[in-house]
Amino acid sequence: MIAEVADLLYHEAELLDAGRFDDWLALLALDLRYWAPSRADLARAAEQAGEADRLPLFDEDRDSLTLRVRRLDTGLAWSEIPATRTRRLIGNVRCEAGIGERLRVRSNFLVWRSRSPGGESILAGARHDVWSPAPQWQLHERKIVIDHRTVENLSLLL
Amino acid sequence: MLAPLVDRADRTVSVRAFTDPDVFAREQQSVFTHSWLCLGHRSQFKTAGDFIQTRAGTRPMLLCLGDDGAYHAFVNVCSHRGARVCQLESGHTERFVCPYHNWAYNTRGELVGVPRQAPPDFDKSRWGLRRAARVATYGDLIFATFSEQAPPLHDYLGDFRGYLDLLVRSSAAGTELSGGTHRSRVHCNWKLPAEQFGADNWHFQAVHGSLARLGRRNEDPHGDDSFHAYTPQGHMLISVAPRTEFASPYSFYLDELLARGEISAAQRRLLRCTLVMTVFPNLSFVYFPGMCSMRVWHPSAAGETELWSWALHNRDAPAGLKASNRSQVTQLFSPTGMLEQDDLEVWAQLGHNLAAMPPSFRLCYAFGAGDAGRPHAGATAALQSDLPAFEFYQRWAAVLEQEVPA
Repeated sequence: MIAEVADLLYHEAELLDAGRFDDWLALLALDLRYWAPSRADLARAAEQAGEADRLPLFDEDRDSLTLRVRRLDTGLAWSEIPATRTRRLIGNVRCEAGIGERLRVRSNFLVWRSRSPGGESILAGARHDVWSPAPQWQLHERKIVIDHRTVENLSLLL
Repeated sequence: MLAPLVDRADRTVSVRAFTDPDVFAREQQSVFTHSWLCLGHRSQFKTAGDFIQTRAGTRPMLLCLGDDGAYHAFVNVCSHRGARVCQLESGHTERFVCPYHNWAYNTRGELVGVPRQAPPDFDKSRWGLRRAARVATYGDLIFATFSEQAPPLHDYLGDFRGYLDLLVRSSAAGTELSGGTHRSRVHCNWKLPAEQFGADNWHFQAVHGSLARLGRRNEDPHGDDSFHAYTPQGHMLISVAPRTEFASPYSFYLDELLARGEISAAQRRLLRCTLVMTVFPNLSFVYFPGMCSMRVWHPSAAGETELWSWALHNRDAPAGLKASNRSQVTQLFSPTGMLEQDDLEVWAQLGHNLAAMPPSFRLCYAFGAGDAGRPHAGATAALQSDLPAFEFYQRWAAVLEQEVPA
């Protein structure tokens, strides 16, 4: 099972790195909740306990992510002209049973980003997903824990 | 002899204003010492002993609600060797104890304890944390200045109060910030985004063409309520009126504020507009009906800025409006925001390009005419004028001359 789930996550990373965003949107379930808490310099327990109350870095559903992709298609989204060079490395994949047939999947990521003149940077973090299983593989929930307190321009999908 | 930083005759600003480390250092001793700087918001404090870490220019600061009910602002830099006396970005405490040698300070920044028996000639009262000269509030915003000579906050805001009131005093219940802060790196001088947020309506169709194309066009650029305004203190506003105000839960809420007598008919009319403003030097807001982002451009170096931003709403707004404000601020004006991303990209280009230009290079602020005589406070100009931004730089240059030993 782990190997199959890891393969799915690698496939997803490949779609995003290649700019195949419509193929990526096809992996998203209609009821998707996709969000990223902002981080705070607090004691670990307090930071975690307050994460839902802090202004998030992403607060999306399938429609808003679709709008983000359509925006890139206008040819006027300057943060991605030309497209940032990205390379996603996905690791530490763990998987357990969720509600019904759904799977809870956790993974870590490093994303290499390169553009001029913005320079080069690495974005690190973890994802806590809920997927409905093969053969459809649909993403229902994704919480992205970004390991940066002050971030560079986040003109990317994770 | 170097050409002036701001040249009134040909309406240009020297590249050195944005790139020269000496100008940046002078700015900290003048603009960020003489001005009233926004350090926080009342909603970040509940009981005496609550604190936040914040910044005043480059200075790392603590802002505390004291047991005297007053806000105290002092540096988060130990008087002994300079370590941080507080490590958490917010919380509650009675004492700040420096991790380096355990010097302890109270919530007013006074040195109250050292771990060894102090020698008889050691005067603790001399070694408190360096304090802001004055702290004052306006509509739940907490400001501080490091200058004893600064005018009272009320006068510093001047006629611009009328515009600020639209966002921070439209209900007697006051305002609140969403919990948590968006923090992003802006790779250019702090003045360029501060200027854009007060005086650049022009960039919207260009930089944000992607969303402008996907959205519904509804602005009325020639109406009485579409204008630039600016005041002698260096504050500036852009208002863009809609052609049609659509009924929404937010417009009903505004009608209710009007019916309750919280806002006037003139205020109600402006609150249907897009309002973008900068309070000199580095506090900005962007508002359109149902969404309001408040932000501070913290200078880090001549070409580096850290943006802190929040969602701001009225305390008595319905929960649904608060949630929708938070989500729109995140989707549009956060580091992932569909509008902010493109600004961050362009600002990085400015930072990179300007640093590459020789000191003789000057930016053009010559476009657009002056006073439009609109029925609003301050001097006004028709949209798409560089004059309000140029006035900001003239104010900046004047304050830069008032260097004080700090």
